[in-house]
Amino acid sequence: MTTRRAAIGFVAPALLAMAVVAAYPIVAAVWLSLHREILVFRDHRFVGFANWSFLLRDGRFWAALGHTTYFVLVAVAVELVLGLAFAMLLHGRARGRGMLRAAVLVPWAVPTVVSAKLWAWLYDPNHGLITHLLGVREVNLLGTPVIALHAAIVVDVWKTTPFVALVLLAGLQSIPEDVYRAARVDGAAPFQTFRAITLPLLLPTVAVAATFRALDAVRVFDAIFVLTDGGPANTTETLSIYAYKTMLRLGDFGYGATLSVATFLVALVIAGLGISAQRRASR
Amino acid sequence: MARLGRRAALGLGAALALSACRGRRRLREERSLVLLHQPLWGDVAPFGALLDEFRRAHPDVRLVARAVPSASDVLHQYLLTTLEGGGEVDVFVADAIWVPEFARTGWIADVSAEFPERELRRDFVGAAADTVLFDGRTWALPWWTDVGVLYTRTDVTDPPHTFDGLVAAARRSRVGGYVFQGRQYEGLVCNAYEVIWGFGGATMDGARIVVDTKEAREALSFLASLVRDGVSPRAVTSAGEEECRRTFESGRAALMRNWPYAWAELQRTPLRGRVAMTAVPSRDGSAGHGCLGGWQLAMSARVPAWKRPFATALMRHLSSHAAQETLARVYGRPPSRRALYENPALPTLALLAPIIEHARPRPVSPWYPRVSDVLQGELSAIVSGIRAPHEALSRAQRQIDRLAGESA
Repeated sequence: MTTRRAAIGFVAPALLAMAVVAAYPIVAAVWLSLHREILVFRDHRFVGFANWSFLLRDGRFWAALGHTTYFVLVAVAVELVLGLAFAMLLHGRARGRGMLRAAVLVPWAVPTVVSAKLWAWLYDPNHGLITHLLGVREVNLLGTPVIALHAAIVVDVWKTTPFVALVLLAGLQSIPEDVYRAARVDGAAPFQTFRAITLPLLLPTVAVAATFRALDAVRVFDAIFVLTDGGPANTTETLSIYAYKTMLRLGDFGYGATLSVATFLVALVIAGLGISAQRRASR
Repeated sequence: MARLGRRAALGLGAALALSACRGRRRLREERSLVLLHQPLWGDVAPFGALLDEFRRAHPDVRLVARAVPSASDVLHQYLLTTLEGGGEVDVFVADAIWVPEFARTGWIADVSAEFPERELRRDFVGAAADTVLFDGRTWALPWWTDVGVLYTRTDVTDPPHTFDGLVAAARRSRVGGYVFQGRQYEGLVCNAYEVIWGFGGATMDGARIVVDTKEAREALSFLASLVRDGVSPRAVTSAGEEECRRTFESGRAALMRNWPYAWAELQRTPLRGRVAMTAVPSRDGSAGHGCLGGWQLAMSARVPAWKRPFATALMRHLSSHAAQETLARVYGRPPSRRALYENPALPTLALLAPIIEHARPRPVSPWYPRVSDVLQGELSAIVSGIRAPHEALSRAQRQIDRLAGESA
């Protein structure tokens, strides 16, 4: 009984902190999403689920959800593949490994707004290096629907692959060396070793990296805000950009909160999927 | 016990010191007057001198000038949170399109008593006066004004006056075609309205904002065809003012739609003397209607009575004839006062005077920011060729009517 009480005492500060910084804002956002709160209209009143029923009929929301989902799927998949390749490279015993590990982290260390501005210049149709290298002067990457979203994915991949590589590297290093030694004794080819040992043993770490990245990508904002601001024709508008515009540019806090809560629910689903994937992978 | 006592005394002392500090700060702030303004590019001294003049004339109040972001939508967001949250601001700059919104929201003070409509109509250019008048009251004082203009490389072609002339000149040009602002943002709405007005289209039908009209469909088909047919480079679909200016300055375009600030910039490049600034074109060749921009000085509705005379004096001082002359001469900001356009010492203004007389405002409505958000998406769809103009415009009209219905 005493230990139990002591345990509660020790946990209480953490619980309190969680309640203040996590639970309260979520509850407040949900409560706000049940209101019509538009500054210009001087309108503050309870409207029940009106915002939510509008959300279900709002084509712009579904389009934003589509863009976000596509962004998450493609960006995370590419990041995992590239990240694994980098992790293998860093795990090997090449010379100058320390330098390489530091160098790989550079994109991760640069603030997204700065790197996105950098990429905007690279994509510039007149002076951009990328358009120059592609040899296509009359293609405007950020101004063409479909292509613009992929251009944003490239920026995200460039920036966060180092993070994935680092997480996977930690996973690689936790695989015991004697398993590999046994494989060598049995005369396994390098690719066989990778298929039969590295990949299965790394799977739990892959699941962790994928979950972290997906949760981060679902609320992608800064890169797109700098590159296209949701344009052309809202084809790069993600949930966060739509929520931001609704709330802070238009002053519609009720519907903006609804969009934020919807984004939160999407993240919750991803977290659930991630945790169950992790459980299955480690079994 | 003694230790505890000392600690308590220390704590009490600290709290007292803190509250004393806070008290002093509050007292100081009560005697201060906070001005929010954008940084004016170039030499900071002349603007500083303007503020110092006010300080000398009003020693009873401490003028605090704070720089805020110059991008219109970023500033709008900043003001939204500052004004709603009761932040510290007395006089601030407001974009031409915000006055009705801020008036309705109750964020800005009615200054009809200090600046009656009759006086505004007499002293300021018509379009600038229209900007600050809403519901028959005065809500701000015009500061400097802005209008969309056409720049032409005169060593390549004569300035066109019609849309057909513009297309022909761009096709004949050996240095590239026509650049305009086609990125999904407020600037695209300005560009689109200029073409719609050039085709004779209307903006309002009574209190209803109309965009799905025959003229608008024709106008935007024309705008889309510029990009589709290569009269304008594909780059315009993501270009803002600065992208256009850089393209034009580097000799890759013969024609450019932009604001007057680019004129001052162009005088510092090798293109000096080879560029003309004229009114935007129209279908029939009559002087086109440039989109009206510009900034106003507004007073926060929270300004207490004792401070109001100081705030009014500051607005009057910054928008005075002498101050506007400094802004025009040093910073290239077109004045809003009529008299300055007759000043022979400022030759650029003689070019701008007729253009500003023809300028038209975007729809005057408290819901304009919401309407613009709808328009930006649909206009971007037209320019980048995703949707046909008639489809995009009918979508826009439906959304705008829904917004208006909500407001009723």
